[in-house]
Amino acid sequence: MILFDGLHENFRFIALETHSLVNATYEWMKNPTAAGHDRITARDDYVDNLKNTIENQCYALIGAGKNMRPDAISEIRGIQIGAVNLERIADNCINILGQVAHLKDPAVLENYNHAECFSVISNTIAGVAEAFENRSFADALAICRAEPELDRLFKIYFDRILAEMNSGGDSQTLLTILFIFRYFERMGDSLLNIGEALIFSILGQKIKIHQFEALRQNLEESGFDTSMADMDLEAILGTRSGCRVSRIEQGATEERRRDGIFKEGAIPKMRAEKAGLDRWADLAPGLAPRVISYRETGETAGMLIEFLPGHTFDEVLLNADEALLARATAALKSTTGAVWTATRTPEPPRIDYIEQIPARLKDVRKVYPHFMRPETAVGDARSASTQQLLDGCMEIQNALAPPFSVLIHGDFNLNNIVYNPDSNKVHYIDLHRSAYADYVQDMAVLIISHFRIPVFKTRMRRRLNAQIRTLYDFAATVAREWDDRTFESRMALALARSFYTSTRFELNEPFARAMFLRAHFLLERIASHAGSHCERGWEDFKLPEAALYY
Amino acid sequence: MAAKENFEYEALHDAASIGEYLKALRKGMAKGEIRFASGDDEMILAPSGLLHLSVRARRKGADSTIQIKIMWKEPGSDPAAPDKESLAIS
Repeated sequence: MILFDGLHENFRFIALETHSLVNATYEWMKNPTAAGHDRITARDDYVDNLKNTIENQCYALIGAGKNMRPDAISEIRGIQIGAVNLERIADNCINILGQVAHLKDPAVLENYNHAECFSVISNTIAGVAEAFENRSFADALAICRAEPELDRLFKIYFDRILAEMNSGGDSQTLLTILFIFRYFERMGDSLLNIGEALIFSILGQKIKIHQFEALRQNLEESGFDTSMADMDLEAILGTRSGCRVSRIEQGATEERRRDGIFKEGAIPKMRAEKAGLDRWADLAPGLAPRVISYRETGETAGMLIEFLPGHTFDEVLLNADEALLARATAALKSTTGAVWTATRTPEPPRIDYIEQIPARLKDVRKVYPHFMRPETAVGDARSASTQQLLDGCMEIQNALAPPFSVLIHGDFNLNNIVYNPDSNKVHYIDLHRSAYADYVQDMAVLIISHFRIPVFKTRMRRRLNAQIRTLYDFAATVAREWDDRTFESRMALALARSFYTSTRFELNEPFARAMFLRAHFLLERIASHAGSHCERGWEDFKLPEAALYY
Repeated sequence: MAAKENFEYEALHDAASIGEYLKALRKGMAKGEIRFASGDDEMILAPSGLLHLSVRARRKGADSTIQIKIMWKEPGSDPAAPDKESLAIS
């Protein structure tokens, strides 16, 4: 536990005070007097004040702590969320007092066993302060478990009250009692938030209780030691794709340490990723992480996969010296080339670069509403609108079938490629979009993931541009060797698509505009080539390589 | 005539396709009017009378610029015409 002046004491007070308030509410319901009502309301005011004080302390601490350690920030956030939810529980007690006033005869409550609900809430809150002080996983989980229990009780009383209403019971009384049970259920939600806040405070990352359970089950099945206390969970990256990624290191001796990455997400996506990993494991053992365990629960699935040591390629690109970058790039080219060679099949894949632009246009225009150009004219000089270009290029794309398919990564961004300098090996991660497709797709995505790095210092930009040139030359060489005559035109379409759709991640407007303009430029080139009646058609198309550099 | 009308166009080109735009401007100057259209919006400018031309060229490191600007007063706006509102001098 990290010490912050007075913060833990205030948190202990708010937990104790809320606990007393819950108990007092229970006692009051047995004998609802006006004086008792006032005493409880006064306690609620005190809880409100404590919450405000705690929030002020939390914000002040975070605001003042320029070099605060991430675990200290996590702990402060956990306490703040805990305090806000304790105060919500107190408010819901006051709401219950208000409901009791609507009962013609409060004694009717004795027919409903609300004591059961109070007991769950009171016992759980009783352990909150200690759980936060000890930063105990087990206690955090116990707090979280109050929520399903209160949900279960709510369902029982909801069904019963509904049945009584249907059989002619007094609707005002029944509705009031239903509201009271609804408030118990909401207190359960607040308790869940408190438990999750403590887990967050311990792990330093936002993990939901169902994800935690899925992780536990996966660890159990995979033979990891399931004592969470011995584990160190470290967030290594948060992906845009919505899967949470954690690295688990066992606290045991170095020799017995096993690392894993836990992923949790919607079943279809997780299934696709597992299928992808299994396929890669057969094809190129060691290239992609091995699946250690997989489990579906309800609508989500959890999967524990091998942790591949090394650096993601963006780290290499931005931090490594020239020699290491050259070695990593050589390994990347050789691995990629070997995969293409091993999986090449003569069947032409379907390409849908252009279709992907309108599919993402909504997201682009949320950030940049003007990134859709109308048809323009300056005297006789005309420029087609975005829509006209897309329509025209769609037709062209249909005539540009690649001459073969290879197994591609499908999301070949820099941060989905891992390089291990010790073994000089390249690994692929995040393979849920892997499929037999056009190799140009992977290369265009990889090139744009270099381009869109928002680094503008001349030296680093030169490095990015040089890397783009190396990768483009590599792809062009493969195209020549394999007699892929429409390589440049497909590359232009694929790059246009990646330039356009990448703008939605870029909040630096001039840089986003540079990508938007490049997308149009490439589409215009393709469209004007179609109208130029070149002798050899698309084989003559020259990709304006300058558009690849910034 | 609206108080303020705007047209903006921004795109990447190569020297040949920029030539098309310069040719269109030259043709419009010769004809006495140039049409600027963007979607359903249209504006016609008729450069005439005293035209102020400024040409600027700049090279700074890797970035170079040529800026051509042509400015003039619309013929309807007689600079010597009396103001519609009385001029108060205090």
